[in-house]
Amino acid sequence: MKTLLRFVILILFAAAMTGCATKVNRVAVDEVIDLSGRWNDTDSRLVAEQMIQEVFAHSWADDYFARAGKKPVVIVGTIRNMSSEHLETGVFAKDIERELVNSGKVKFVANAYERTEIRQERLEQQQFATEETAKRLAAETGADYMLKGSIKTQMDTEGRKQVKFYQTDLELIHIESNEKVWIGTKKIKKFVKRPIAKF
Amino acid sequence: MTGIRNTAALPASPRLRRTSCLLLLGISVLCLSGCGTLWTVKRQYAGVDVMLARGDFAAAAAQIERSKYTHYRSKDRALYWLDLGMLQHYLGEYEASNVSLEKAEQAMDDAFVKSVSRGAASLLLNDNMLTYAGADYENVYVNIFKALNYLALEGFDEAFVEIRRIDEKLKVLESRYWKVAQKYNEARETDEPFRVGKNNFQNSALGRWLSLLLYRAEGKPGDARVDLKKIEAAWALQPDVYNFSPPKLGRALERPAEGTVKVSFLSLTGQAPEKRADTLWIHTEPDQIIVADSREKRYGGQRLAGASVFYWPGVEAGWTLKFQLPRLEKRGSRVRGIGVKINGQRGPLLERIESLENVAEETFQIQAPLIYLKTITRTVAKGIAAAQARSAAEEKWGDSSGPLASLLAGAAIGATENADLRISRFFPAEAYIAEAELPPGVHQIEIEYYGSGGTVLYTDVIGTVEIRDDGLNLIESFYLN
Repeated sequence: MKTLLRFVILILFAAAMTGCATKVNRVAVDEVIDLSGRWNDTDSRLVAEQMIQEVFAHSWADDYFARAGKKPVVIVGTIRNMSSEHLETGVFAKDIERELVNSGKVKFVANAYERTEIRQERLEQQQFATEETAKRLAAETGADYMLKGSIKTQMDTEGRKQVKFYQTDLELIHIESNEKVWIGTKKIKKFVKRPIAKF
Repeated sequence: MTGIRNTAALPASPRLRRTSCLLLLGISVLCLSGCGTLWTVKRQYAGVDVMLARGDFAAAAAQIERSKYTHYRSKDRALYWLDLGMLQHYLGEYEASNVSLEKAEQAMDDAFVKSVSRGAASLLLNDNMLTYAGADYENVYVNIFKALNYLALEGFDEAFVEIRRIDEKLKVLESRYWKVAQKYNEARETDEPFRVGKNNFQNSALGRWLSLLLYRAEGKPGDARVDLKKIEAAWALQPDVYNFSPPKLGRALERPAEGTVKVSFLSLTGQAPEKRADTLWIHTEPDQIIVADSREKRYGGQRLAGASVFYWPGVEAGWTLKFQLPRLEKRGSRVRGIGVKINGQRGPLLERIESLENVAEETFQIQAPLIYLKTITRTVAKGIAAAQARSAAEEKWGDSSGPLASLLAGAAIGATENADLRISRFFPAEAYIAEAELPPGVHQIEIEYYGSGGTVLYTDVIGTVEIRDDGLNLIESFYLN
């Protein structure tokens, strides 16, 4: 009888643990949620914010302003995924762009992908828009600097424990002279411990 | 035999008898509630070998997709996605293949965290109760095929991600095999210690070759040279896996002749091994031991191979034991050579770089002792429970009830003691490579597969291929026969 009772309790416990329906909660977009330990939106945002703080901690922008009398124009180039995870580098590039634009210290121009569509639109305006509203050809603002970079990983796994090391490297290169005016690195280290078992 | 007689003759305590009866009752209930989960279902593969042989991958994929809910259980999720993803790769549906193989990889990763309930059920019943976590070789090759998919989709960086994952997984395997060896050595004293250095798969020449191509295309000869060294090390350190001549890669890092670029060929042949079950039945009657063995038929079910009755004075009745152990059966390939035809002219012959079936066998052999140990322990426990149940029935209801109890217990053991035969079916058996130097532009490419005696088994007309002066120029072909 006791055995049967124990068995019934075990079954009820299992049923309670498994839950009955999908549950959805709204959370703040800046709330840190780590599920798998992989690179996520929080990593992308934090790295972008800290990198941009670092980029403006150096004097290159002020030097440029003093020399040229205007804000430098920056374009975001390729940020390569050289990791062992399929990272959405596009999200990271956008985070970088946002932080740069919001800083107010630089001007920003559309990247290579965005340019194609805009150029097509400008071409069509020449044919279909009124003369007063059609935008001029060959009047783009040329970028002074390109921000390029990469994200790399190193993993160390032992059983259910894993150390994940992410290194983001960014470089700001003067487009005309190829001079590297700033190099920044941001590292993230995560310790992921998976559960021993599930029910 | 002395051990059997003495143990069976022991008077069972009331508590032990009750436990035995409960155990058998539990097994019977589980048998009735979920028969499909007690053994490996293979009906979904009926006829697919013929489909693959004639290159009808669409029919094979459709059959697998139709079987998603009928023959693959939720615990076999990884297997389903592996099977489907591989067929989608052969069909040239690279994006869909990547989605499927990613799901397979995720399912294998999820299975890393063991389910307590399934683990307990597997101790009581068999390993088919466990969520399929994929064989180690599947876990590595899934990334190789994802890399090939990405390369076909011109996703250079994404392919590199997969190559890096292979490297990480091989490192993890190296560490894990060391632990398995230690566990095995602790579990029993072996005449010959388990040798990790010998029984190991920690380097994939095919994976390294793809990595070499990527680094070379990216203009990183230093990194490509590291891969070349690792390919050489694969032959030196894993002679059981690489028991054939290495491909000649001496020119791999040399600059191509003026006005030409490197073109790489990869051919996949045959089909990866499958698992089959060998069964041994042992039943005792007074002074008699009945031994029967059977072998598995191609798509499941057992064929009786032989049975013998031994007169053995003193043996007690009531023991029923069924041992079913998985065996890896190579399916190989009919292909004995592969050649390239470029613009109607004979090009280079392809050389073998990887035997996926050797890798499958090697990694299976590492796990096999633990599988066997677990099976034998479980079977003996069930046999003891069955003998106790017979003893209890005879005490309670008289001697005539003994054979019936024994029969029921034997049926329960027979139904529950099944080897876990799950393994993906659509990986190739062998991989061959070659390189040529061609001027950029349009070329007509054919790949010829030769059987024994040099007869042409199949010609894969790749057709018009544009060779570019940048990028990888990797041409893939397959003949799964």
